[in-house]
Amino acid sequence: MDTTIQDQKSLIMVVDDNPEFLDGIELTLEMEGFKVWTANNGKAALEQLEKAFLLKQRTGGSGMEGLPDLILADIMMPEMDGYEFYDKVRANPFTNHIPFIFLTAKSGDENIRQGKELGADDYFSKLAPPEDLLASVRGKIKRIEQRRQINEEVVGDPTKSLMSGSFVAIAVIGSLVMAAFCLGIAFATGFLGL
Amino acid sequence: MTGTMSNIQQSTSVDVQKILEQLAARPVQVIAEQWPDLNPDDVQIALAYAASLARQSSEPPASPAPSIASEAAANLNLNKVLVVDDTEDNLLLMKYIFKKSDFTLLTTSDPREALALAKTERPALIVSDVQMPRMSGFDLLQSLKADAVTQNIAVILVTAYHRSSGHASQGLNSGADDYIQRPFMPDEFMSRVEAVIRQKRAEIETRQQAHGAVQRNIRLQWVNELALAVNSSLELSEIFVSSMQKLSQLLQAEAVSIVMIVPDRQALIINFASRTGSSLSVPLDFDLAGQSATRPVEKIVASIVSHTFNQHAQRLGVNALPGDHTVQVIPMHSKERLVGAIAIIDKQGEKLNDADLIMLNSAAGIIGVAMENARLLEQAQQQVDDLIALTEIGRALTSNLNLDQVLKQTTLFIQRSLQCEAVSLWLLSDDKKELLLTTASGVGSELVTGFRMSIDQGIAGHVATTGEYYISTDLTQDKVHFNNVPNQANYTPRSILSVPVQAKGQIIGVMQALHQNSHWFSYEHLRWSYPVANFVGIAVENARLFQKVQAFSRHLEQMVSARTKELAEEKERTEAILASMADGLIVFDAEKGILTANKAAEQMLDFKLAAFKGQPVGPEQLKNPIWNCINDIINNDELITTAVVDAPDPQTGAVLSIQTHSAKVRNEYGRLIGTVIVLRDITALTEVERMKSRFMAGVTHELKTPLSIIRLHSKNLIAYGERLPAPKRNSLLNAIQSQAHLLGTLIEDILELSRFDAGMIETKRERIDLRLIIDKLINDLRPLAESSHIMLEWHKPAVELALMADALQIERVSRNLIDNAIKYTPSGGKIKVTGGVNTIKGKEFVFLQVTDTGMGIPADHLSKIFERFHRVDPSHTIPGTGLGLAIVKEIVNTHDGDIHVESTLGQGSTFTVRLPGPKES
Repeated sequence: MDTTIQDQKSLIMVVDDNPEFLDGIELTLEMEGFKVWTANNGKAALEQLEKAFLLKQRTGGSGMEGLPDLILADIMMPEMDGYEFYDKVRANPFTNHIPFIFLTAKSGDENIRQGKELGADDYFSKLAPPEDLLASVRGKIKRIEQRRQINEEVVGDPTKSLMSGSFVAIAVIGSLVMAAFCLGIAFATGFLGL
Repeated sequence: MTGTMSNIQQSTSVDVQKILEQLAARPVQVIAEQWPDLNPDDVQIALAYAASLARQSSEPPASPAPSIASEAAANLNLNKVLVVDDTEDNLLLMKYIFKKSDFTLLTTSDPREALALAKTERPALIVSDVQMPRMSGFDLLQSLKADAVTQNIAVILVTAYHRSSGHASQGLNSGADDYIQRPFMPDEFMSRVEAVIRQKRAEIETRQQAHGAVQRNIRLQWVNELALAVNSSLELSEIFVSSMQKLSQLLQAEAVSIVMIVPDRQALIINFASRTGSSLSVPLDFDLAGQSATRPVEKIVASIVSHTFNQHAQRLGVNALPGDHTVQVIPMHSKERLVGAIAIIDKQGEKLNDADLIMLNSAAGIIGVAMENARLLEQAQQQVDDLIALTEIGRALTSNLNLDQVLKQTTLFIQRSLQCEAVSLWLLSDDKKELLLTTASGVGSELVTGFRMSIDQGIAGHVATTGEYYISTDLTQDKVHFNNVPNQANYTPRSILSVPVQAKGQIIGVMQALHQNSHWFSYEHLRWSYPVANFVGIAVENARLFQKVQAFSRHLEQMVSARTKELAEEKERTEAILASMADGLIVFDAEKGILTANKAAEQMLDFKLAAFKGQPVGPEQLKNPIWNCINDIINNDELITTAVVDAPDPQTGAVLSIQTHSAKVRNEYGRLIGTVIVLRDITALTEVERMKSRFMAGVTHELKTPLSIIRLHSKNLIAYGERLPAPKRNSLLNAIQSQAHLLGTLIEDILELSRFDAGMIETKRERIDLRLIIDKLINDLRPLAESSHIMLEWHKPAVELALMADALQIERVSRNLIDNAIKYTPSGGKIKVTGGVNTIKGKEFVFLQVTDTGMGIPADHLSKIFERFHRVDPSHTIPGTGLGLAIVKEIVNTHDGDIHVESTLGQGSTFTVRLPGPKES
């Protein structure tokens, strides 16, 4: 696992208006072997996601591979706060799948409940022990790796089952077609328009 | 009084007579014209009747003629016989014949002498010869029959020559009693004479009997008339006058008197009527009934009447009869009680016969009874009149409560009733030492009213002290009680009647009646005055009580009106309080209708009380959540409820938080009589709560953020320190330090505000120069500004900005303002700090102005930025506690200064602090 992570560093996006905190979390995550993007507010974070997507697409990828594996975001931020940012991320089909963790100084059960109700994958207080956050982050990354591995096994071993193989193939082809179809809309409406 | 009345009566009757005569003389037409309503025939009849009445009353009744004749007949001497013959022989023969008889014989030869003798000697029989010279027997007979005095004398004619029967029948036809022819036998002659005499005797006896019957008849008729007269009249004076006049006419006496005993008074009224027709009445104080016990009534009355008659004879128009007159007295009784007497006054020797006495006795009985009846009637009438008068006074006195008016009316009434000249009413003063002449009427009443007199003076004082009435018949003779009331009216009363006025058994005053004639007031007046005085006493007492009641009621009225005013004011105050109350108040009755509501409630609930009074909550209103809540409350049985409802403000549409408090009101029997609901706009309170929670959220956020950084950095240092390069480690440590510092500041601010709240901040007053403080601050903050690429300008004034203030606090104010400006000004911006001294309304002020080119403050935040915990930026982009400006305001207020802000969104803000100069602080 460690090698895998080291070979292919997972990318984590951290959004916070406090530069000092951003510095601290960035340092922690990097020291734990993650690749880290930082942004000062939701708006800046969205712009960064859009840039990365388009960059990868231009270099011949689907674009999705340039997106971060996980987003950590504060709630109270200028320009665009964490809730709005979350909504945008979830509303976009290309970012919809990215695990999203709220990390905030806001406290109280009500805030946590609100965050969870929105569909956030987790919710952490800034005062929570960093180990807890790390554990959650690792857990999410691990889950992503597992899914990716299963997907590759199914697609990459046709003998396993024709039915399943053809099903997966059809699914993959379908998804690719759909992806191609959607790309235009995505970039027209999703990243550019939003 | 009675005397006066009878005089009037008499003169009146004369007048009536005259008038009737005059009337009778007038033509009927004239009268008919004067009284057109009358039938002329009736008038004529009436006039004829009146004339006959007048004649009757003017002509004295004719004396009964038969009485004289009968008296003449009664005077014939039945033993005397007169013989008239011109022949001496015949006279001798007659003397011889009559010698043997009992008759006294008178003889004459002259017929003329015979006529004279017939008148003087009044023989019962005249025997006359027929043939006589100068006068025949027939002539003599005729002459005798022609004279009334002699017509009754029997006559026998004697003749010798006229033998023929013609002569005899002529003689008998002429009225002779017998006719004898000569010669005759003496015996025969004598028998004839005796027969004639017998006849004459019988005739006389018959006549006498007839006369007696007539006399009795006349008297009976008179008594009857008297009875009719006295019974038809009810006036004492009329009875006296009519009966006395009748008596006097009948008895032909000098004067007749009726003496009447005035019962209970020991007094007499002596009435006289003289034969001349005039009458008189004299009162006399004499106890006849008492005196009659020891002496015969007749004698006493006789002496009294005789004495009085002689005193007043002149007035009666007759001569006094001193010494030589007789007075015959017939006592009068009624119901076996002596009521008076009739007295007949006549010249000496004129005595009444038995028939007259009998008649007088019955007359006395009739007059006595009639007199007594009339007297009783008069008395009864007097009592009725008195009662009516008293009732009238009583009514006047008790129906009117205006004392002065009542007393004035009363005195006037008394004056009229007593026919006196002046009436005065004295009332005792409160200390009972003085008498006040309260009211007077009559002579000089205006002059004496109000006169005061000590209670030990005068008749009034005597009466007031003793409580006994006082009658003075002649004040000029009254040495003891000569009235000392000032005689301004120049009026000298001689009679006075003075009675005490009592109320509740206490003497409260004296009532006096005055007359300038002596002997004016009698016991009758006194008897009448007592109840009047009592009425006056009651009236005075009533009026005084009424005055007291009135005074008390006025006092009560004043109290009531004062209390009413108080209540009205109280009500007004309550209403004003309710109206001005910020809380809405709405009251429902037991039937769930709106009873009342104040202005605040009308605004909150968006309705007009005037239009909805008495009505229940309507369906249209239930759309409003507050009305809905109210509807729930009034339909609920819970005694007390509290709820909070959010509803749109009817005016602005902004959401208001309305707290409702309700209470069911029950009367003393536990029955529900209504619901009171208080609506409190707690929007501001809620806002404060929200602000507080926002602050708490902000504070925790601000506290947590640096803490989390510290924690993160320290963790990084611990976990990865060895792997980190030294500069990175140092930067982490520096970050930890600065975050710790921020934490410290935050805590400082919160604590400081708490201290301000608790009044624990000590503000020093020292002379400072604001310029120096700003100098230092600019030096401190310039690096911060420059790091954000902000130009910080300090336009330092030349004059000293002197203050008497706490240097540290003023520095805090300045720092916060400049710090804020830096925080909210984007890079490339400019901050200008200026200061100066201004004089406003003669007062010196130091001002400090900080102008930035920052983002500006939205208009809706301008009024709130000095409130605690308020932050313009909801997402806390700019670090801060939201307490900086609150602290500034707190300090400026402490220094009696003020702060205000002007801002244009996107262009910048200007904060101006104004503090009083050193002289003013």
